[in-house]
Amino acid sequence: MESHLSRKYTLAELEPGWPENLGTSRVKSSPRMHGSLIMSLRRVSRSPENSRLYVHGDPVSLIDWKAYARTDELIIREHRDEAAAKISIVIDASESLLWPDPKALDEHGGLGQVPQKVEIACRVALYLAHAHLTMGDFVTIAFLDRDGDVTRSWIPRSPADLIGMYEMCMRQGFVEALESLMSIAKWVPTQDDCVWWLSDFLRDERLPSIWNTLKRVAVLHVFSHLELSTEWMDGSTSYRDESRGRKIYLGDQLKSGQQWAEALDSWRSFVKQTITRRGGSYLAINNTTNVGDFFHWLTTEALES
Amino acid sequence: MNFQAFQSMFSPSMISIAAGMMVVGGLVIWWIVRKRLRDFWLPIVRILDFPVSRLPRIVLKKPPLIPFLMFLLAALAVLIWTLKPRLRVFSDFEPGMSQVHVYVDMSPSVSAHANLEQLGKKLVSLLEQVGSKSRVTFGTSHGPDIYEMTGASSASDLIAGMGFHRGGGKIGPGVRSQIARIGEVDQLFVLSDRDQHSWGGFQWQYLLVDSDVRHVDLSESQIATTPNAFIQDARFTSSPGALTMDWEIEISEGAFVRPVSGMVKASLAGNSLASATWEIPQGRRSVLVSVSWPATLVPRDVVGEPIEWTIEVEGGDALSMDNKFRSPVLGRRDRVVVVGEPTGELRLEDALMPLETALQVSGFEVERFDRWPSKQKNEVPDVIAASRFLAVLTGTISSLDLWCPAASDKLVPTWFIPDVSQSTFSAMCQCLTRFSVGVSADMCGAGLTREQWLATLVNIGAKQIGGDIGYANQAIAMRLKGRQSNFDFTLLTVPLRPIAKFGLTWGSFPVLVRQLAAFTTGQESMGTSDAQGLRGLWPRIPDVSALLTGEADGVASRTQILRETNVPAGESMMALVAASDLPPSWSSIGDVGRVKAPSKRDSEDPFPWIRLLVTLVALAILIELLWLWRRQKQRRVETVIYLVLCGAFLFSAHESQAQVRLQWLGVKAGPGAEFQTLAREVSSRTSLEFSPQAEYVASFDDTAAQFPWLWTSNPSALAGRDGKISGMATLWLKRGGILIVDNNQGEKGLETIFEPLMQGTVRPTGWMSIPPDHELMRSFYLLNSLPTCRGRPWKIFSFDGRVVAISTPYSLLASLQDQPARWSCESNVAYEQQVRIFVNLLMMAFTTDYKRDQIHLPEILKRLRVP
Repeated sequence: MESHLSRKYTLAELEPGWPENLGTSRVKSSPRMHGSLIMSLRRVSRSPENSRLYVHGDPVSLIDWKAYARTDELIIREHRDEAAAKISIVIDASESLLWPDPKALDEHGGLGQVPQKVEIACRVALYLAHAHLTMGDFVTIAFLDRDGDVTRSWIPRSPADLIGMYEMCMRQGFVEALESLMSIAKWVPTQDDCVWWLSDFLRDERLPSIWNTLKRVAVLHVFSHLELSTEWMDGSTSYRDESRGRKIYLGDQLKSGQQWAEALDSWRSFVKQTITRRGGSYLAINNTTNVGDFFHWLTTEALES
Repeated sequence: MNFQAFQSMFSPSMISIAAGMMVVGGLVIWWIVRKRLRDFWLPIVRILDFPVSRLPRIVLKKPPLIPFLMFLLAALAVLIWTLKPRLRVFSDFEPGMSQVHVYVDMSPSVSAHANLEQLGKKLVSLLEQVGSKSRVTFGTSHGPDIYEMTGASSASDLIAGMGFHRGGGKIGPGVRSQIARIGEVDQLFVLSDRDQHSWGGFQWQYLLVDSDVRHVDLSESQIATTPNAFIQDARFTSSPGALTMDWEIEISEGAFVRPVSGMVKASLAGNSLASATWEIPQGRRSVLVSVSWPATLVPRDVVGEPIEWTIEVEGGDALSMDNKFRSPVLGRRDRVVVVGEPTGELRLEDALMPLETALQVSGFEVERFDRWPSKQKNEVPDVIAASRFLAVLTGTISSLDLWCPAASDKLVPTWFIPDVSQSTFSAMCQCLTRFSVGVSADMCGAGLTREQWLATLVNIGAKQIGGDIGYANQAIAMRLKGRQSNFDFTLLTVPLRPIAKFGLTWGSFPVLVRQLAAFTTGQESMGTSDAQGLRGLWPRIPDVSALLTGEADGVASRTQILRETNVPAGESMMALVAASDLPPSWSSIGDVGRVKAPSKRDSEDPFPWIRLLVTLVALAILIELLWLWRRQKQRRVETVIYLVLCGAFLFSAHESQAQVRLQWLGVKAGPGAEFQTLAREVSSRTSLEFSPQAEYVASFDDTAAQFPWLWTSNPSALAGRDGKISGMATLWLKRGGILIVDNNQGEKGLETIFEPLMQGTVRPTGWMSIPPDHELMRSFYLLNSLPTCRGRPWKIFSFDGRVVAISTPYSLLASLQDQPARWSCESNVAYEQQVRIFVNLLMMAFTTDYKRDQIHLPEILKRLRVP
């Protein structure tokens, strides 16, 4: 029987201040939280937070020989320290992120409640913002409008702001709540140490030109689980998209063939390749992605670099 | 499936309809499939590209303007092109316009239904109604002439001026001769009554293959109940020499609806002769009426006038034209003049007494002169002109002038009668020397015997009268007629009186005289006719269209004949044909749309399409120019490039050389002669296209050296200062040019000019006549000979085995141009022959002796039907 411990939570349930932290404590010797940015120090810090016991494999040059002489313990003096980082979180709010429309889902039938893609994006964004603020970073949440520009942004000052925002989102809806607090501000991401980019990349085939000026980008490719399979499709329904190609397919045709998964994989890998070639991190998420998987990616790939 | 059904199935219209139906069907299927399905928006689809068939959504997008306009234009063109026109539109003088012809029947029977004014009005209204959409001509039953209406009054004036002809009219032959002159007729209107005689033998159904036939009925219903009496015949019943002239008149009635009575009157030259009453009782068709008057009432000096019979019908008559009947004056005594001195004291001793008596018995009135009457002696020469013939006794009068007529005298047929003496033939012979019949004075010796005289007459072409054919000595007389009918001599070889030696008795003599007279006058009814040719005979002509000889008969003009004949009985019978046997009737009150019914040539007529095509092309050019203008405004470089390309194309394009042109050397500008007819002939006979306009070059220059051939009437244009052919011209001739010297007048000049070409050749031929087996004689047509002119033949000049120059003895081109010059050479040459010569010349100039090339042999043999 599934208990609250054994249950696997999905991103559709993610909220800011999720119990599991980013796990920096695993690699850090001290509980001090000064930010997520790990900076190189010019000289060896003497503060105890930055020393730990030697672990096999650590560089010998980092051993504090004086302390060894003093205590007969191999103590490592780390040359790094943490600092407050500038973080931006960009949420794509274009039309395709607003899919699926609850009304259309009702008309289609047999699908139940499926959150909109933008809701997943907002949940992840709020969680990330909360985590960064908790770590002492400076966070800006921005919306990518339909033209692909960032014109409005919100700067939460404390984790409490985000908790409040989340509650507001639950009442009013994610997009509406976030937009209500956003102000028109010039967003200058060039100084940012890291930009989290949440989008489905359906609006434009090209990557945003602003990426060229960014130091580091971590991309979360947002899907709905309905987009990843054809199992749910209906033979008496045609599936269309009204943008450029104005394509329309019969449900039967989509359901019967294997082309869907192949085409989707090829496109996803194309997007991933394009991003990783620029030095960014990539993760495809959807409403059914396990929170654990997401955290794993965060700790292994996104934060490692 | 027959071919027509197949053709109609795959006609452009059918294909268009099928394509349209397929498009509509596709749209319906799309709509059903599209609307049957629920529509679900799935944005991720946009990044997918499946090979599976999609069901597209029909979306209206704003198309680019210029291509869209061009598409609309093309679609319009295809649409209109595949539709069949409902209404033909023609303008004046277009070769493809529809031809409507109106045939106006002006036979006597029509006059019973309409007078000339009514007929003219009917014709004009008909012409005006059908004339707006086509070319309309009309013709009458008077003859094969074709008319076109120029004004409203002209047609009715023409009809009124012509009048009804008295001869019968057959519509069939009349229409046939008129259509043959027009060519092709799309619609034929026959303006006529329903007379059986007129419509008889007209197989109008056969005309329906090529055209539409309509009958405009002039018949009026009340005519059927009106009787029509007419004179069937007038017969002369008196014996010759009787004191009264008795006639029997047969009066008939066609409709025989009720008893008819009336009066018949006879008159001659306006003088009434006699009258009688008549009545045709019920149930009978005709009645005989006797009319007689004293013979003295008919004066002898009224010549060529007929007796005019007129009937008057009580209660009216349907047809008035046949109430007049004319017959020749019969029973009147003709005069014969007999010239000869009395040969004895007593009447019985006179040599001419038996002849006079015999002529009188035969019904002639004989007038006797002792010698040839001449004006100088105040005698009466007119009496000869008024006589039927003349009998002259020769030999008894010593002086030739006293009995022999001069060549300038006005002569009637003359008998020369020999005397019993032998010198009489010599005298007759000398008389004949006055007329150019081939008799000279040295033939007429004093001792000319009958046999010698007969041999002479046979030699000069006299015809034998009497005896067996080929045995001239059995002849009673020889007949000699002048070529221009200026004299007609009957030269008797025996004395014309009963002489036992010649087998002539008192009993048989009058019979002989009567037969001779009949032979001379050419009539059976001796001494009692007054007929002079057709005019006096007043024949019944059943069909006037058969009288197509025109005005050149010399008897009377054609119009006069048509007015002076008797109405044929067929017309007078007034029998009507059932309307069902006639073409569909056309009425101006009724449905005019029937006239608009398209004829079979509609689909063949390309002119509306060509006009449409030109309009579309003009529109396309306009749109293109608009586009260019817009581009220009946007300062686009392509516009300039486009314009430069267009200009380069226009300026670099040069005239097509597919036509053969007549290149004329030696004149700056041509006389304006055109060769339309020749061009048509050449194009229809050969595969070459010949330009009707000639090209003129003043002197031999670089331009002329480019031409394949040159025509000139002035060969010195080729010559340099020394009078010999220039170097450039020599080179041109050697390189393949050919010079045609048209209408060459002097041989010497040509020989001098062409001298340089003779130098250095192995076999200098010079100018030579054309051998019969020359390629010019067989390059296209097989010609037997070329026409000469004043003894000068055609000549050719060859160089290196090839003809480089031809000289014609007359102007070939002048006889071939559209208005040919007057032929001035000895024997007339038909236009056809000239065209054949030209075609052969053309072929030889452009293909040389290609028939000698063995590669053409199979084809030539095939054409010659040689297996």
